[in-house]
Amino acid sequence: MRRMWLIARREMAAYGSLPSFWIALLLGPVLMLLTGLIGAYGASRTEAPAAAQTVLIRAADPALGSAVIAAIADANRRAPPQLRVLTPAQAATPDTVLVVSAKPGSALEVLVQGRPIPPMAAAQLEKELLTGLRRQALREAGASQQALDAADAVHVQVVTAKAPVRKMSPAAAEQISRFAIVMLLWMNLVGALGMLLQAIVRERANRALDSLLASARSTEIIFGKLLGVGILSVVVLAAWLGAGAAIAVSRFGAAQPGLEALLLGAFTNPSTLIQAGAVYLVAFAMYGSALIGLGAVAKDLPAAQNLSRPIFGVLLLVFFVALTQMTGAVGPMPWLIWLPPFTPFAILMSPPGATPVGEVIAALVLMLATTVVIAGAASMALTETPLRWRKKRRDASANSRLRYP
Amino acid sequence: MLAVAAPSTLTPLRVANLAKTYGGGRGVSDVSFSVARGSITGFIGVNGAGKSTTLKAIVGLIAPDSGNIELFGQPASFAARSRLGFLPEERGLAPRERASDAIAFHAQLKGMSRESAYRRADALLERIGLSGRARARIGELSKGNAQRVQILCAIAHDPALLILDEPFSGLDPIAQAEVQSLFSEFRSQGGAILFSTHSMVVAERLCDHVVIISDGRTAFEGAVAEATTHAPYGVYVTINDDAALLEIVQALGGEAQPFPSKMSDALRWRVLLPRTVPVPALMRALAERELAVHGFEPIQADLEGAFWTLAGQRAAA
Repeated sequence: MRRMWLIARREMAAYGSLPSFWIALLLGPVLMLLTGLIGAYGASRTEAPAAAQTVLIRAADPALGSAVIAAIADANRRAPPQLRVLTPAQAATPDTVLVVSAKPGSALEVLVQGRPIPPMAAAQLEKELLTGLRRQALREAGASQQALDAADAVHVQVVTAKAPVRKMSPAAAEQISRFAIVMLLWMNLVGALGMLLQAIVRERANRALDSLLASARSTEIIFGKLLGVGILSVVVLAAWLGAGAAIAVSRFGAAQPGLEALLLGAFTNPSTLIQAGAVYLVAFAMYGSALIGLGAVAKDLPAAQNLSRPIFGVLLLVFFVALTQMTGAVGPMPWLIWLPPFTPFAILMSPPGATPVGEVIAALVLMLATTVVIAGAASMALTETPLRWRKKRRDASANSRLRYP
Repeated sequence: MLAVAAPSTLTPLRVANLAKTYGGGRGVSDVSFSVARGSITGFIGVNGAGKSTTLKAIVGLIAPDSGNIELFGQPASFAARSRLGFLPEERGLAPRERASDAIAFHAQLKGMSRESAYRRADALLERIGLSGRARARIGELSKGNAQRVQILCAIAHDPALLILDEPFSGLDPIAQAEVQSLFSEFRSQGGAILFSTHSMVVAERLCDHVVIISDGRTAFEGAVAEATTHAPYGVYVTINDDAALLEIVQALGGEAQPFPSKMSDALRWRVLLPRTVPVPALMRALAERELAVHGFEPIQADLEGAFWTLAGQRAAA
C-alpha cells in the first residue's frame, strides 16, 4: 500500500510539474465562464433592440391606420425616433407588424406581431393614439358634449403578440443536460487515459519500468499509476464540474435563454454530480487497467498507439451511442448497462429512476470484476509472464552467430 | 559511506538450470552460477547471449520457464529481493524528476523512511561530488551524471547484492573510475555485485569471478585467474611464405588461422600451439628455414582470449 502511494505521488509530481497540466485544469472553468458570458450577452441583446425599428401598419379601417401612423409620428417627435413606418411597398421584411382593429365596447387594439416594440414606444403610442382619436372624434362631432363623451369612451391598448415558441419537453431538456455531463466525463476520461498510456509506455521504452518492477509488485505499479493519474484527472474533473456548477447558479447561469441554460442546468443537481464522479472513477479504473496492460505489451509508443486503437475506438462508439440516445434517433437500449465498456455511460444517460438501483449496483459490480480481470492480465503483461497453456518452445540455437575469430 | 545491509554468510545468489525462451527462440536454456558474498562477479557474453534475460529473471522482471534462483539461501521472492539493488540496461529516469527525489523514491520503495531516504540521497550525491546538483532535474544533468544518479538509485537502500546491467556504458573514464571505486567500497563491506559487461578490460580489472555465457548456457564460471588459463596459447606471426608456416605449425602439433590484416604481401597468422611446445621452438623452426618474418607477437593470456576460447567451445558444442 505504501509503495502504491509512493508511485501515485510520483506520478502526480511528474504531471503536476508540467505547465500543460495546469492549462488543462484551467481550460474547463474558462470555457464554462465563456459559455455563461456568451449567454448573458445574447440575453442583453434581445432586451435592447436597435433604435430604428421598422413597422408595418395593418388596419381594416384606413382611418384607424392613419391615426396610428400619426400617433407614431407624434411619438417619434417627443422621443428619439424609435419606430419607422414602412409603406406596403417597402414592407418586405418589417421588424414588426402592428395590426389595428376595433374591439366591441369602443376599444381599440394594436396587436404587435414580430419583434416587440420597446415599452417606452408602446406607452407613447397608446398616449398619442388616444389623443389623436379624441381630437378626431371632437372634430367630427363638432365639439359637442356628445362627441366629447364618445372620445373619452375610446380605449386604446397596445398588445404584444406572443411569439410562437417551440417548447422543449422537460424529458428532452434533461436528456441534453445528462449528455453534457457524459461528454464532460468522456473528454476527461480520454485525456486521462492518454496520460496513463504515455506514463506506462515511456517507462517501458526507456526501461525505467524495470527499476520499478525490481522494487514494487506489478499490481502496486498498476494501481499506483492508476491512483496517481486518477487523482489528477479527478482534480481536473472537479474543477470543470465545480466551475460549471458555480456558473450555473450564478447570475450568468440564471440569465441563460437557450442551449447554454440546458448545458449549465446539468450542473445544478448535486446528486447527479456525485453520481457522475463515482461512475467516472470506476470507468477510469477499468479503461486505465486495460491501457496499462496494452502499454506493457507494446514496448514503445508507436506500438502502443496501434494497440490502444480498439480501446479508443470503443470510447468513440460509446460517444455515438450516447449521442443517439440524446437525440432519440434510436430507442432506449437498457441492455447496454450490462456491457462493461458501456456501463458508465449507460448509467449516466439513463433518466433518474429508469434503471432500478439494484441493477445499477449489479452492473457496477460486474464492471469492477472486469477491472480486476483486466488488471490481472496487465500485471502479467508487465512481468512478461507467459500464459500457462502456451506451448513452450525448446531452445532454438539462440546465438548461432558466435564464431571463433 | 556505503553500507551493506545485514551481512549474511549465506550465498547471496545461486542460479541453477535457468531457462527462459521468448517467442522468437532467443533466451537462455541452461544457466547456472553463484555469486559469493564480498565479491564482484562479471557476467560476460556477446549480444543476445542471454545476459539481460538472466538478470531480469533474477530481479523478477520476467518469469523463467524453469530452473531455480536462490537469494540469500531462500527461493527468490519479492521479500528476498528487497535486499537487492538493480540497474537496468537502459537508463530511464523521469527528466523532470529532481536528482535527490529520484534516489529517495527508490530508497523508499525498498522500505526506507522518507527522512532516512533523503539523508541517504544527500550523502550519496555528496560521495560522488554531485551534492550541488541535488535539486537539479534529471533532464538538466549531463548523460554521465544522470547515469550516476541512476546507479545511486540502485544502491540507495543499502542492498546486500547489486545486479547491474552494463553499468559502465556511456560513462567517461573519470566517471567509470568513480563508479568502480564505489563498487570496490561496496565489496569491501561485504556486499556482492553481479554486473554484465562487454568490456573484458573492465571485467579483468574489477572482478574476482567471471561467468561467461554463450548460446544461452553457462560456458565458464570461476575466478578471473582461472579463466585466463583458457586463453589461447600461441603467437601472431606475419610472414610471406604461408605454405612454409603451415608446414612448421603442423609439425609442432599446432594450428594456424589467417587474420584479416596484411603487411604488403605478408599475411598475419594466428598460430595456436600445444601448451607443451614453448614459443621459442616455433621461432627457432622459422629461423632454421630462413623465412622472412615481419612480425612475431605472443598472444596475451588475458580474459578476452579466454572468452573467445570458452565461448567458442560452447558455440561449437
